Amino acid sequence: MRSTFVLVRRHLQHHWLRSGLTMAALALAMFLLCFVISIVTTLEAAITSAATTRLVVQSAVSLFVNLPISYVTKIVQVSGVDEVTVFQWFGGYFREDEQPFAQFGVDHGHFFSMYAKDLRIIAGPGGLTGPGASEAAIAAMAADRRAAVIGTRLAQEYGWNIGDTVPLTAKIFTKTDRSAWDFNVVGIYEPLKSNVDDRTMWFRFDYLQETMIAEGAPADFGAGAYMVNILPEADPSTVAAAIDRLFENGPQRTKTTTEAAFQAIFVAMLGNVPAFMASLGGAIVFAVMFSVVNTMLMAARQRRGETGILKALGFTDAAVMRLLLVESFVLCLTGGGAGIALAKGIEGPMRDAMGAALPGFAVAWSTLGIAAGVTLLLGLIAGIGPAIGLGRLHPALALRSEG
Amino acid sequence: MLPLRYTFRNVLVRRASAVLTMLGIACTVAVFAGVIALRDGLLSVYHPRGDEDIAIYLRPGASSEGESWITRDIVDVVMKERPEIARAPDGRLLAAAESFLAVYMEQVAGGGLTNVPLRGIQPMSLELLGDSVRLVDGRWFAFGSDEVVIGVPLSGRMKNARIGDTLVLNLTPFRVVGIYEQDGVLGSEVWGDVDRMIDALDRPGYQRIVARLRPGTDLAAVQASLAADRRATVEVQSEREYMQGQTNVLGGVLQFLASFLTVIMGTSAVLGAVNTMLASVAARTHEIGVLLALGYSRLAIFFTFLFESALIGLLGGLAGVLLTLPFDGLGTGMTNFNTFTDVSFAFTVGPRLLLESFGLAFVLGLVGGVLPAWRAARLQPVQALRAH
Amino acid sequence: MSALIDLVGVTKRYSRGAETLTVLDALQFHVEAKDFVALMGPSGSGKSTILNIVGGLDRPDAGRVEVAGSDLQALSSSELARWRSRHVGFVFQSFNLVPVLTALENVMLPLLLTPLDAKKRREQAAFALDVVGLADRMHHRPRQLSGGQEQRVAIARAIATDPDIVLADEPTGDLDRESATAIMDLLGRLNTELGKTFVVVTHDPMVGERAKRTLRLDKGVLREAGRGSTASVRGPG
Repeated sequence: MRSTFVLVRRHLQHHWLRSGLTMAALALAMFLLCFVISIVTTLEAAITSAATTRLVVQSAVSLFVNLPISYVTKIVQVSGVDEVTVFQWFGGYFREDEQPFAQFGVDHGHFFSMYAKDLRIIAGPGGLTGPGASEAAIAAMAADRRAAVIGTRLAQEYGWNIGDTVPLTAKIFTKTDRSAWDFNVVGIYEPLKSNVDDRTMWFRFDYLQETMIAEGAPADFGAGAYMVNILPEADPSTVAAAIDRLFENGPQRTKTTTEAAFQAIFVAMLGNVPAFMASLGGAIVFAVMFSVVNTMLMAARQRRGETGILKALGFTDAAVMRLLLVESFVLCLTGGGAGIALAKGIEGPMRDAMGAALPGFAVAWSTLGIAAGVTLLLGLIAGIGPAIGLGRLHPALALRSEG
Repeated sequence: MLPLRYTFRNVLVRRASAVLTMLGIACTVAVFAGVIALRDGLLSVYHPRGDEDIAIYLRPGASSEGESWITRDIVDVVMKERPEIARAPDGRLLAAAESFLAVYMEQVAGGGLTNVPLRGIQPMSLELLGDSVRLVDGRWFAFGSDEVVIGVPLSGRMKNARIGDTLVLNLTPFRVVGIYEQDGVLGSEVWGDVDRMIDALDRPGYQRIVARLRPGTDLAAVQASLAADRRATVEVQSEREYMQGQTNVLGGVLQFLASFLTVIMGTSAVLGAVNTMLASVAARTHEIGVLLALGYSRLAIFFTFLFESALIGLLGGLAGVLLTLPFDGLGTGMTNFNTFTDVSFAFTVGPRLLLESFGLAFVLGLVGGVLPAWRAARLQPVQALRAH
Repeated sequence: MSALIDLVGVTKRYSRGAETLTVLDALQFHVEAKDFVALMGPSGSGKSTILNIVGGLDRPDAGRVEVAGSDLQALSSSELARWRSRHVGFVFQSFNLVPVLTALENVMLPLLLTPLDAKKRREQAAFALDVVGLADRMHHRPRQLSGGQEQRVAIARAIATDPDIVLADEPTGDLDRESATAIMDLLGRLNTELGKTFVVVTHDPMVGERAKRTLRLDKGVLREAGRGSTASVRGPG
């Protein structure tokens, strides 16, 4: 057994360039495979980790239609509803050419308690950190119409601190005088779940509402979505149906779904991502398979003479086959293993690079497992043909060709 | 230098390895061509209707219709007072105000809900589209009624999108009375009377004005004049410019994806090519010694092996192209992140892409051949002749 | 009078690890035009090295090398290659031919380095094959030829460009007695009929008998062997 590994190692080392190139090709391919699979798993995780006790109320027609603000008080009264907050996408930007970040107008009185499991305020006014920070920040938000809470990475990227004023230019909610919207930072939050973004700004919806009404918007100016936390004993689909029934005669008909279903819509908009990624993954694996099979064919070709000698010495056909198969596996596992390790190792920087486009990018252990399985399969496919060939080789024939 | 048939036959002789290398390159080329074919298909759908003089008016600062909001008052001001808008011989204004909203529709082939463009139009909208739009089935909707027509690609891919079906916009049912076709991105939308739609959705505002400008209008001058105009608070751009802007996000993503995948898969394929060629050189070491003894220069040896590798690359490119060609014309849909709506388009494998694919394959083969060719050229004849 | 091949004071050393072996020791080697010289000696003694130096495939560590009127030491690598294609033909012990080319194409290989056009190249190659008696096999691949036939094709190739000198390294080493005899007859004929100068490295005494002159390489130095002569040779300088 040990001698097998020694022989295998010698072979791989003797042809270090060939072995190295093949391992590099495998490493690249497996890295890419893990990356591609991880995109799918990250998207799915966003859906599955969505809160089951949260519903999203939006217009039945479109994401871009606002619901009247009066709906809030009516929704709160539906049986099973715990808390409700407005949730309005603002769509502004700080500097046009930089990577944009999300801003949402929310009901500051309810939002932070509703999302207590998703994010936590870690820094507040007066330099407060720790448990007291949250209370202080929320209190500050209640006192200042223009208050906002920003994510840790925003604070890091732009160097914003408690007390700073952040001016944003609006693309959707433009004011007639085209002036910027000013927000005062009163708190910094950190995400508590991997799929929650750390680059978001939460501000007071009533600031947006008052300003827009002053600009001529109707008095019932509301938001595109209302987030609803339901009581633990309530059944989501029942409550959702009840809410929709409430508004089935308008003025805006609603569609209420679980947060998971809402996320799923966004994922579905990307198209048939799983199918696309699967075909990509297939192409990647195929491409590298040809490379590895080639290498093992060359290895077998060069070993005809040695095989003849081994057989003349008394090694069985099976032993000779095993030798080549082990070499194939060692080659694949080393190269593939390096690629898989790289994929996991680079997870953090990848997540940062993906940013808000794909928050919470993660390489799951199951993904690594799949890639490892593929690597083993490659080892088998590449090795089995040449191994059988050498197994069947007649020693006299092999020795003669050595000349 | 060395005859071509020397190269061809050597590739043939070691064909198992050559084929495996070719297939590795073919996969890389196929993936590259496939993703770029998607991108080209997307870009080609966003072409203007062929008329240089069509302009789009949006709210200042809006980068797409979805972000735009123009009140009725402003529409009136623009239509009545802007001098650059052309008129028909009978005096009618060649301009139309339209609404735009991304609405939910459910896909037939699974995958759930997606956003589809709902456009409210005026009679002049159809006139401005001219020959580029045709009725394919049923009839046009009657202005003033709660009827819609749906574009061919949507009619096939969405539920509730056939003639006779009903689309409920908020509280108002709209009946599908016809299927239309348009050679461009406006072809996969749902159209109806703008005023009826605004009413049904309770959204009292338009998203854009589309107009034909007088021939010879200086667009820059118009833009400057609008910036100064305090009543007509809109911005204008040519339809061509607008179209080009609508694909930059998704187009960019596809371009990035193609580059990323090509670099990684290409490197993997090149490594395979290097291995194959190294083995070829090793097996022909004595032969190289003989060639050097005959008087062939090292440069000749170098180029012959480089050419052999490039040939393998080109053949791989051919295989890759053949793998991708069947996809040409295959219809698909994606969400355009600029407009946030589903856009239907087809894989487009054009001559430029074919050329690029072959070029890529050639380069992959060439790069893979450099090290082995260099090794071959550096052989010392005396040592090489001792081989075997 | 200067000879066609003139090696004066040629020294060649090889180092193997810590040891240095002096293979050629201030050697003199002179060959007149139209001569047929056999270089004999124990294997590994450096006979092939002399051949390689004469053919410009290798350079000595010291000494003067003048062949066919050129000072080989003064030529660069690429100049040597060009010179070689014009003045020298090589025949090796084995694996002379490119397996993927036919006999005719193999013989045409050196002709590709000349300014001749395709038609002339073909004619000349076909002629060379005819001289060695293999005109009927010109479209066969090496694997379709016997050992002796392969060597004859190699010889045809060696004379195809009409060089002054043919250098053969153990040309009969892999052949059976009958084929070896035929090859040696051929070489002899080419020497007497076409006037080509031959230097043949061999350890086959039969080859030595065919040569006009036989030299033995021993301890880095050449001695005239001839038929029974053991006198040492310091040729005209």
